[in-house]
Amino acid sequence: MEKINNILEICNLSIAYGPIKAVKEVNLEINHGEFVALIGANGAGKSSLLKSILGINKAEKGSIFFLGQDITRKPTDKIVSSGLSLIPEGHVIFSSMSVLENLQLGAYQNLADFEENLKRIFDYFPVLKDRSSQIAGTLSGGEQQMLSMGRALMSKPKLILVDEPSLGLAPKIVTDIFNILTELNKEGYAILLAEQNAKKALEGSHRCYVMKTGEIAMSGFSTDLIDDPKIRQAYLGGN
Amino acid sequence: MEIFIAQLISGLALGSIYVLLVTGFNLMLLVAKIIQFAYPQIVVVSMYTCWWVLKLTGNKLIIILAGVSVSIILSLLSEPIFRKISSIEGVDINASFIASMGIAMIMMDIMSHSINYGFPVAFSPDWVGGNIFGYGLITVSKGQLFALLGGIIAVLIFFFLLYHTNQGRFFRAIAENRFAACLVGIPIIKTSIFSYLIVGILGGFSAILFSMLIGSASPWLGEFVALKMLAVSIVAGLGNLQGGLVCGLLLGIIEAMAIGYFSGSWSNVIAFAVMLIVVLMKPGGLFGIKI
Amino acid sequence: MSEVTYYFLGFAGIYVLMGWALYLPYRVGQLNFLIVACMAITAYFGGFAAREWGWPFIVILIIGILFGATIAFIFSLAIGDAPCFTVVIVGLTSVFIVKTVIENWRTLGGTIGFFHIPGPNNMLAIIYSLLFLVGLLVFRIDHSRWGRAASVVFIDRDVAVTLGVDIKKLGMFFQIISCSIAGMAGILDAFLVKSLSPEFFTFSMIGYLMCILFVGGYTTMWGVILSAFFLQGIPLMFPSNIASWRLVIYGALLVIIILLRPEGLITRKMLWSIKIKSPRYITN
Ligand SMILES: Nc1ncnc2c1ncn2[C@@H]1O[C@H](COP(=O)(O)OP(=O)(O)OP(=O)(O)O)[C@@H](O)[C@H]1O
Ligand SMILES: [Mg+2]
Repeated sequence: MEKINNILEICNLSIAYGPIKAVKEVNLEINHGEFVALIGANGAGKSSLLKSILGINKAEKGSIFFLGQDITRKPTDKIVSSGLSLIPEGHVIFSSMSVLENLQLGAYQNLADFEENLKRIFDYFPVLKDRSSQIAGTLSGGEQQMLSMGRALMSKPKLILVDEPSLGLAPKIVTDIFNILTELNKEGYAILLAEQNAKKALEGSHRCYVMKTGEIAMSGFSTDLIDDPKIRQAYLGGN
Repeated sequence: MEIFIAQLISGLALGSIYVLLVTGFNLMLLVAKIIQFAYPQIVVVSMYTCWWVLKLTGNKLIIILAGVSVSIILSLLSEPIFRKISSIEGVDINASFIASMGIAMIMMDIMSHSINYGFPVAFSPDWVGGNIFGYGLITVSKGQLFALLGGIIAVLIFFFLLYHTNQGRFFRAIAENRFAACLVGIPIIKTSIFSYLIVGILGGFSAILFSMLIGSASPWLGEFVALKMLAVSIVAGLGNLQGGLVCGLLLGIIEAMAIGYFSGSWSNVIAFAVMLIVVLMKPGGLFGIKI
Repeated sequence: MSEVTYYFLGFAGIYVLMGWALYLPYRVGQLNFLIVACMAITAYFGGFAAREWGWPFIVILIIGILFGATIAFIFSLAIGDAPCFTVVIVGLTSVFIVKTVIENWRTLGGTIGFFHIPGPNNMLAIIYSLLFLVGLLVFRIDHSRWGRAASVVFIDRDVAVTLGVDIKKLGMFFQIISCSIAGMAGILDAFLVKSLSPEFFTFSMIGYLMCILFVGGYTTMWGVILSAFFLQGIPLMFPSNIASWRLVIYGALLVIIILLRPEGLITRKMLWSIKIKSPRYITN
């Protein structure tokens, strides 16, 4: 039997919002256990791409394979249950529910070993344990981001899509969050991280795709890209 | 004083039916994101069903089953229409209001043409039942007792379902943040269909309790009830379930008091006038909009 | 002219007016059913003043318009910027209150109705000249600063606020114009039919007006004209046993139009394509 190497493969994917073409013919691949970054300026189409992987935006053209299966036209709940999870940009949480309830909802597709899972999440984010009965809307921005991450992990995904976790957070917390992502990756989770903070993203990831107005402008190993003069010029603030 | 107590009892009985209706309406609003203005018409059709089955058989269980199933079927039948409407690009919640108004007109006209020559139907005394308690002016009829107990039990079960079961949590999740609910993998359409089912059940029970309480039904009952339902939910704040509880009961009490102290046809005017004044003073509702 | 044609044209004209009265506040997303209450009140006032006090038509007409404006002004102080369904419920409750009051008011004929209203014999000329004037007014409003601001409010209230649109003032303006038109329509109705019945001003009237606005198309002022004539013609087009199912027909039309053509028969795009100049809107 042929061994499928990649966990996610995107072929010629295009997304349009009416007349606006947000993503044009994008090809992208993630291998098992890999930490891949997707960098690009505002409006480059990163979020659109991630949302379409989860089936929230419908793809106009092209196809998406997850673990060798075509998931392009599947409904979001099926995609989530097959092992994909998105941590969206901004703090998308159920703000009138308690922290615990948020995490319970995260386990919708994986109610089996809930307690064990919860313990694991609390190990990553101790702050959530202390606040588990607090109403989620009253958490601080950083805590909300952690809740959003914790909730996504509750479904035991095989691949985590992360959209700008650093948005609006203090540098200290951003560093914490990147550390946790790296740690998760070491434990075997594959990660696709969309980020504007190119420096952090390149430092943490194995490979990187650079997106520009809906297209992949460049791709390669992060260590190579970090030294690329064009990248330095455009995304890392000069020399 | 005796009048007061008597009217309080009948107001609470009436109010608990309003509460059931408003709760169903709000659930539709929160989960399916529609204004189901035709909901009271479904309830009235279900009352007509009870009336019709009652003529065929005396078996209460069959009557209840018939009433509830008709309500469930109608509610589920409306689901594809509303789903189609919500999926059209560029339409907002008003579209569902307009469509449900159309559906309400259709149901009302069919009832006023085809059933009992358009005359109101009366339920047999056997179904309605007489007084089971009397003390001076204070009496409690079987219908009142059933409406009150049935209403309380149904609402308790509903809130238990909403706050203490997984399915209820999914309802609340969709109501609060559709996008996040989608992300955690809640099947939106399936859950939404389930909410139509719940609303159908609630509607069926309100139909049975209502028919026991008032002992009659007419084609134009639906429009009055629809108006009260919408008014209560707006006075409370659209989508506010707890507010709906309070305001539904209050409306029942106000109406009953008006019946007790003024002549018949003015009771509705007083109830509507009170709601009108409250809405004018607090356009956003007493307890806040929750959608 | 046959009696059927006379009443067909007369009612169609009045319903175009009522359609516009519903259309204007919906420009800012409000369904103002208060117009039905205004129409009922002024119709009864007009009938009463003409029969009992012998007032001339023109005076009654002016009072009717002013009455609509006053009522709308008072209400709109509270609900000028209210959400759609708050306005809906204010309208609906007012309609039922007014209807019940009329039904219980012996002098106004109660449930039986109010008959023998004297007045001009041929109302069509009056109705259609007023229709023309109101049409001009609606057209002017649509093409004015107010009209453009309304389009922004309809699409996004928050954006409108940040652009400096005074939503409350705008809502008040539209509600006042709308109720004045309705007040006028009420007077015209009383003098056209020469008799009144509270049964006329109910839920089915509201459903009918919704049908006129949404089947015709709520994005332009022209849809109302098309559908008012078309819907008024339905009972004439079909044999009476089918025509008695009017409400089923109207209800079905509402559902079908929302499903198939949510913007109604006449849309803004259509006007553009046949090069009728229509106000510039922020594209959405
Ligand atoms: N729902 C939508 N409707 C219309 N256009 C949209 C929608 N969502 C995104 N777009 C457009 O698609 C393009 C790509 O947006 P996207 O959110 O994917 O960018 P991004 O790379 O995530 O940017 P950022 O870093 O600012 O989050 C933008 O031009 C945006 O305006
Ligand atoms: Mg983004």
